[in-house]
This record gives sequence, structure tokens and C-alpha cells, in this order.
Amino acid sequence: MKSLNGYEVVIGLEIHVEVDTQTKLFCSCSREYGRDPNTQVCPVCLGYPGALPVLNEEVVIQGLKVARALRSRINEVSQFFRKNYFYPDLPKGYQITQYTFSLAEDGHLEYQFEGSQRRVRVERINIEEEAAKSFHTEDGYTLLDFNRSGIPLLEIVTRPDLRSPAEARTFLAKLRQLIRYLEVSPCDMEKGHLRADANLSVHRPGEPLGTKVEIKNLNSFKALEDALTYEAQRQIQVLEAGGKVVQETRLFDESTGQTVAMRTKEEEMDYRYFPEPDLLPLNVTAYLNRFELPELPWEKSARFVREYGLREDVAEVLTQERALADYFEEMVRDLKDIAQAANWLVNRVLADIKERSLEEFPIRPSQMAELLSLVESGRITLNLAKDVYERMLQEGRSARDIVESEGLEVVSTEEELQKFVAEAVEENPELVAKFRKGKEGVIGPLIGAVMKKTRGKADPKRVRELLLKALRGGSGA
Amino acid sequence: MNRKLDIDHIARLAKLDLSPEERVRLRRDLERILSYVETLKEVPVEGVDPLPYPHEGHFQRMRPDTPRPGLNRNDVIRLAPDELFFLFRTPSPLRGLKKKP
Ligand SMILES: [Zn+2]
Repeated sequence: MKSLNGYEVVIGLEIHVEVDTQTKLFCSCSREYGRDPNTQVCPVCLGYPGALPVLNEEVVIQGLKVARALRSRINEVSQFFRKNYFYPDLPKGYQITQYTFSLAEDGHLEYQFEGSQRRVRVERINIEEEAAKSFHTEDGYTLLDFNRSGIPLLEIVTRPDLRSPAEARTFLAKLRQLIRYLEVSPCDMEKGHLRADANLSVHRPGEPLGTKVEIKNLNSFKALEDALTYEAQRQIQVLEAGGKVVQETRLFDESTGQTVAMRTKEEEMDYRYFPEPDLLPLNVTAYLNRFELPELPWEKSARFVREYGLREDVAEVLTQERALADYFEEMVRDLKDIAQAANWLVNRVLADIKERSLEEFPIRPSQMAELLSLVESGRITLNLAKDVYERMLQEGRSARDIVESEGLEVVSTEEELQKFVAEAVEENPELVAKFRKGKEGVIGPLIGAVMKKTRGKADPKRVRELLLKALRGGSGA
Repeated sequence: MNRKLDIDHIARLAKLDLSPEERVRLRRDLERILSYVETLKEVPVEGVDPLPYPHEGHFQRMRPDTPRPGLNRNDVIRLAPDELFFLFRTPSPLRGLKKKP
């Protein structure tokens, strides 16, 4: 981020998550993604007059999971409201949402950011309905697909506790991780499962908060960070030039990297919020025990440090995704050197997994464990394991099969290795003489000579040890 | 009713293009409706809790998350005033914004 000229940035987020249910929020239409347009519609989600909404209990359960994981106070009785506005994607002329009397309030999420522990407060968690998908054509029309109309959303509103665009990005990533752990939504941002609006203001330390500007539709981590960075700079420039920041809604244009003022006609009171008369108050008491929270990301990470003795940063990486953490745990179940296995997974394998996703990754944890146990028992070297791994990936064969059928095992008998060492010493009198005069660097070519005799199947560390012993001991081991 | 009735603002929110005559007529209608609602203010409600729902102690029913087939697409699209490739087609709300400053 460029210079802030001594200004402080204050950011709050409003995040919308599509809940991964079978049916929509208020009707039994399927909400499966990617079906032909307007094939998953009914009188309720098309907004036909007289159609009555009936709440999907699964959304309530998923909402309660998020509320509890965010340590919020759950309101056993909450209420739905109508938010009135006219737009083609909203056929009823209002969105059913929650306003006052939210599902849950006063939560928080804690995470590490730039070396310090941060806590962002969550003001409220609301259940609401998605609008239809609209496409605006060049010739001035809007095309509408109501398959998306009425898909359940959770709205998560934070307090303005974020202090930089980079922190906002980190927070969103942590929230996404949590929601994926809870299996409330896959949070695929390209599919619009997770979207953020932000509000941002700047002020000088010690002075009251500045005027906040809302930025809409930030649909990727990059868009969020870029838009907020641009907007902070813009507001600082306005203030530095002696101007005033206008309270407004702006839209981020990814192609220019700028935010532009949106022409909105609605102010808060124009939405004419009022209690939804078609829905009685929502009582969730009966649902409070209908779910269990899984081990949460930070709990899992702490356990990996405690139980497996992993470094914190390694544990953090391995618990990014629940499936990866499960993979790791299954893999190390019968291994002895867990730190080595963790490093192997993080440094060698993770990039390959990320390239395709864990479900499509062809090597199962037990197969990976077999490979690593060959290293642990000294039958192959770690270096050779890398080649074997590549071949497992390409050929789909097991590690044992590759190693055995191609004679890749380390020359395991000490006698054999000692014989090769003795031979190498005998065959290279000049190198040996140089070594004994103090030029210890020649150990390299000597190791090379032994390795050549073993056709690369010895552990170079062990060869080095044996060579040193032979050379220093004068007359071999 | 102290707040001035801003018929232009309301028309913009509703995305309606009103003629001067319509404006006059609608203003008259809306003012009549609003002054009728104003009479509610004469009711003494001191100490009375708001009652948004008449069924005290009753809560909404919920349904299980089980999909059911909806409407046939051809039937739905037949009701649309205009369509393109099975998508409802409406004048773009952005069009109005561009036209009027
Ligand atoms: Zn429906």
C-alpha cells in the first residue's frame, strides 16, 4: 500500500454466503448450480401474487452453525423483514431479509495478521434470499434467470474493526476457511458463493471517524484488496486537497482498478423495512441441538502442533483445508518421522494437489505412507523418493512396485557399501593424498565415485560417514 | 404529515415515467391516502408494545430441505411479456439511468 500520509484506514465488511442446500430458502425448488435458465422456478421464487414462503429448516441449521463458530449470541426468536425496492431481478418488489432481530449478533473471529493476534467483531448474522441472475445486454435490455431467485444467503456483517485492505483480505480468507470447514458452503468465489461489500473511511489518529463510503460487489480476494487500496488513496487525496468525502455507494471496476460512484436512488428509509407479514417470528430453540460443530481450523492447527510436534507455520498450512488435514492424518498414522512426512507434503506434494484438487489427486494417503515408510526404513533415499513419487503420479503404480520392479532399493548391506568405499579409496590415490593433506573438499568426488558404484542407490550421507571413517582411520573401517 | 410528498423521488424509486397530468393526479391520491393513515396517530398507544403479529406465542413452521419439481419452463415463459432464449427480457434499469440525468 502506498503512503497513507499518516491517515488511519477503517474497514467493515458485509459478506454474503450462498448456503449449500438442496432447495431454495422459501420454496422447494432445486437450487442446483448450472441448470438451464428458468427450469428451477415456482410461484414463490417467481414472485407470483398470493404465493406464500415456507422457510427451509436446513438454512436455519447452517446459519446456527456459523453463528456458533463465530461465537455469536443466538437470538432464539428472530424475525423476517421486507426490504422494498424495484429492480427486475426482484419480482416481488421486496427482498425477504432480516433487519433488527437477526438470527445472531455480537460474534467475533480471531486470527493472526502480520504477527499479531486480531479480533474482528461480527455485528450480526442474517438469513436472506438471493435475487435472480440478470444480464444486461448492449441494446438496453435485462435478461433474467430465476433459477437463482430465492437461493438462501447468510449475510455476515462485521464491525469496522479492519485496519488495512490486506487485513480485510486475510479476514475474508479466514472466514471462507471457517465456512468451508463447517460445510455450509463451498465458497467458490467464481460461482458467486461468497461475495463482499465493504465500507471504508479514513481519519487522522485521535480524530473522529471519517465519512464512510460503501463499495459494492467485491467478488474475489484481489478485487477486495485492490478496491479498498484504491478507495483509501482516493479519500486521502480528497481530504488532502481540502475536500470532503461524500457518503455514497461506489462500484469497483476490475478493468480499471478504480471505484466509481454508483447512481443510487435509495436511501435507508426508502427501503421501507417492515416485518414480513407472511412469516411468523422464527423460533430456533428446537434447532439448537440439531447440529455439531466439527473441529474448527484454529483448533485443528493447535492440535497438530501439540500432537504431532509440528511447527506452527507447517500446521497452519496443513489445516488450510479440512480435506488436506484429513489426508495428512491418515498418511502419518503408521509413520514414525511425522515432521519429515509433514515437510514432504507441504514442499513436494501440495503444489500438485492444488493444481487439481484433493479429490482428483491420484495418490491416496495410504499409498503415500507406503512411499515414506520405504524412506523411513532406509530402503530408498529421500532423493530417490522424489523420483518414485513423480512416477506414482504419472503411472499410477504403487511405490513398492516401482522400487522393487526396478531394483531401486538402497544397497542395504553395510559390507557391500564398505567394499565400495574401500575400492574407491584404492582407485583414487591422488584424491586420498589430497584429503590427508587437509583438502577435505575432495570428499565430494570420492562420494561420487562410491555412488557410481552403487548406481545411485546408496544414501550419500551414510557413504560420507563411511568414507570419513576410512580416510581418517588410515586403513579403512 | 409534515414531510413534503416528493412525487418525483417516489416515481424514480418505482422507475415510473410520469406525465405532468399523472403527477398531479397521483399526488392528490397519495396525499389523501397518507392523511387517512395519519388519523392513526390520534390513537393513544402510550405503554403499548408493538404487535407486528397477531398470534402471540406462535412461530413459523419450517419445511425439510427436500426438492420438489417446480413449474414447466414453457408455461412460465409463456406468461412473460418478452423473452429471449428462455430468459425473461425487460427494459434495462440502467437504460433509464443513462437517459435521465
Ligand atoms: Zn421456487
